[in-house]
Amino acid sequence: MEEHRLTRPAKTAIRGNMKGIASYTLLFAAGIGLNGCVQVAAPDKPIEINLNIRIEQEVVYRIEGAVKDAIAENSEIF
Amino acid sequence: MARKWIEIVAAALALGATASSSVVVAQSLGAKYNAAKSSGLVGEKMDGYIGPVSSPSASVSALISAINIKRKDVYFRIAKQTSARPVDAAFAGGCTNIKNTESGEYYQAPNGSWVKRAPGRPQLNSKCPQ
Repeated sequence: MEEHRLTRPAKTAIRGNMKGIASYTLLFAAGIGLNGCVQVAAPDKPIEINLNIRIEQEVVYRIEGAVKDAIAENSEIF
Repeated sequence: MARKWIEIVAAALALGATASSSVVVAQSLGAKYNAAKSSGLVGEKMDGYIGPVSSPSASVSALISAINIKRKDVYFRIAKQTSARPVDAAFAGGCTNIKNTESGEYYQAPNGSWVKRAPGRPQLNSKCPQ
């Protein structure tokens, strides 16, 4: 009688699977642990707004000279 | 020959008429604007344009549009020269215009209300060069 065997026995496969589950469980536990101490709440107003104001102010300072000259040159409408 | 001379004289007269009429229009706009400014009909806004201080008559509205169209042209030119946004050029213009107001003229305060310029520093938007 001929014996049929699997090329990759199930025993190894199960062991590998168990290893995977174990590492996922570890990760999950770590996740819970982290969740407890690091609670990040998303800010409702992004910091970008302040940045935009700063850039605008920089632009205003940069072009101030050109603006003053143009206004002086067109005094009939300013 | 005589006909040619008549043509030249006619052309010169036509040119002169065009030139003087455009000068008259420019003068009257400037004069109207100065009068409206000193009588408190129009004021300097923060955005670089002028606006009506109280509800304007049709002629004051027309004057405001005429001045603002010309200002817009100047602001766009500055924006192009300095590779800035036209809205920033106009805003920078507003800062300068408010600083340049004379005592008794109106300007827009940072809270949006019309304020009569008193001797001393005007109230400027925090983004203006102080």
